[in-house]
Amino acid sequence: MKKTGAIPKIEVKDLYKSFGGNHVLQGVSFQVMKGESLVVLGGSGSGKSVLLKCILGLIQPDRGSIKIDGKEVLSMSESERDEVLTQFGMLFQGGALFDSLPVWKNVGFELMYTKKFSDKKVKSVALQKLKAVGLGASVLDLSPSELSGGMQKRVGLARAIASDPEILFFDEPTTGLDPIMCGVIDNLINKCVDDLGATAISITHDIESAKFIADKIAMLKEGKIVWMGPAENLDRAKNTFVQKFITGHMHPKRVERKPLVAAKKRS
Amino acid sequence: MIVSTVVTVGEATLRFINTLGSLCLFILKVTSYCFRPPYYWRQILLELYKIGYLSLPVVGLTAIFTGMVLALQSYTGFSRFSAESAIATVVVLSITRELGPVLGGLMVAGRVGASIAAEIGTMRVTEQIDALATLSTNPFKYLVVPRIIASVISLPLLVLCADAIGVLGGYIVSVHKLGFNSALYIEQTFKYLKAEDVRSGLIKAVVFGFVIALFGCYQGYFSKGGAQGVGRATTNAVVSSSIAILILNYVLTSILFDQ
Ligand SMILES: Nc1ncnc2c1ncn2[C@@H]1O[C@H](COP(=O)(O)OP(=O)(O)OP(=O)(O)O)[C@@H](O)[C@H]1O
Ligand SMILES: [Mg+2]
Repeated sequence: MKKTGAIPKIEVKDLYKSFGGNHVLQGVSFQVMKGESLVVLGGSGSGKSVLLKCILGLIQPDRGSIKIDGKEVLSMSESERDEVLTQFGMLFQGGALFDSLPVWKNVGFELMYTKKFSDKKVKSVALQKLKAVGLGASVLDLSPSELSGGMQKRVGLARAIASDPEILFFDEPTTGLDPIMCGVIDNLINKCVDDLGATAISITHDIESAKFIADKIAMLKEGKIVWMGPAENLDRAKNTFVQKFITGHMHPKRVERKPLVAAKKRS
Repeated sequence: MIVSTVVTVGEATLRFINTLGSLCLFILKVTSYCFRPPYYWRQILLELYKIGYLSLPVVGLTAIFTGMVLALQSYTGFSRFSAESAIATVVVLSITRELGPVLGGLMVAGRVGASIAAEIGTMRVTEQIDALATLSTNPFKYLVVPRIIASVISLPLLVLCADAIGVLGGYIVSVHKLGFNSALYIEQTFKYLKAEDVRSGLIKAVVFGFVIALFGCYQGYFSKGGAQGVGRATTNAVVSSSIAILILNYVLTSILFDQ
């Protein structure tokens, strides 16, 4: 699949980032080729969101190198950086919807301001993207605060893909959604990558959906990538942490609860 | 003991210099973006409405009562040496040169500075500012520049209104309470008024408008730490812009005085 000598779409090398004494990233390196889908796994607080924000330039890393299309972004001027950012779409973990704008302006924000589409056209594209995430015309004019958590997440997803960006970042796209909707969203992510040729990095805690959407999976632990490989190799990974991670959802056997005395009496 | 005092003072000094430095950088960035298209016209119009039009009642009320009280107080003083005829002049000069811009500026700092800081601060802590950057929109151009431009345009207009309303307040009290002749009062009002008096007030207003939006945006933009952080940013914005207005008022007055 990987052509030798091809320039990776995203190349991260030896990335370090600390917040005071909290050393979050300690030498993260990986590559993502064009049209490839990478899933980053890792415990809560292991620095996955920070990693994505570093690549986007929202957080300044302490040292290391980040190359997009072979060009170093950390040494770029602000306007060059803005230019590079135009090819990104990002779903934030918390949604980050603009609460002063209705849903359709949220979804069509980039089309409205950067591509200067007319309101009518923005609305129709917004509706189309909202339908892709399982929402209907009824939410178009609502404000984000009137939506449920899962709906906000899906609006955020619609906004991220609205202008068909070349690089897509999804920070926990299916967290907080019901199993059916999870399937819809996972399919949508695959569609973006397969049909539109987008390059994607997703963060998820759901092993099944990780295996479904990923070409490649990376496991982040204590600021380093401790395992990385093709999605189908995840189950056979020798790394003990990966093993623990993928079997972790099996809870220890639950202790039988004693029936309540009152309930006994009534029956 | 002495060492710990030195450390505390040193840390405070460093923090102060740090803040001053980042404020200066912020001002440079704001000014350079203000002169670089493209502009978000919709945002500018919206902010003109919010900052300018919606501040009119507050500024108007402040002005009318200031004018009224000014007429009463100067009557108390001037009647003691039979200089009542100077009241109209005192009222109009105080309002246009000093009280219109300063009191108007302080009121707007409380109303607008706080809301700018709260709005931008909330956008910061809920990652909306980060989201802007990923949507090919420079947060500076979209959030900060429209507010600065709108505030710099609004304040002089508000002060102009305040001047007129304040003089009207003085007129009402003088004519209806103190028994002045209406035509004479109006004549006295404009007799010694120079264009420069109004102009100096408007120059102050432009500077105050910049300062109010600047501190609101600065505090909001760099706020962190959830609701508490936004609250702190709001307080800081109002306090720092009010103090800056009072200090700059003196500086500007002495510069304009020398001319
Ligand atoms: N702006 C910040 N300032 C200080 N510390 C931060 C900041 N952002 C993140 N951190 C710290 O970085 C670490 C990693 O955070 P991050 O949000 O990347 O975790 P995560 O892997 O995305 O976790 P989760 O799966 O729970 O979302 C945490 O310890 C957090 O406290
Ligand atoms: Mg996270």
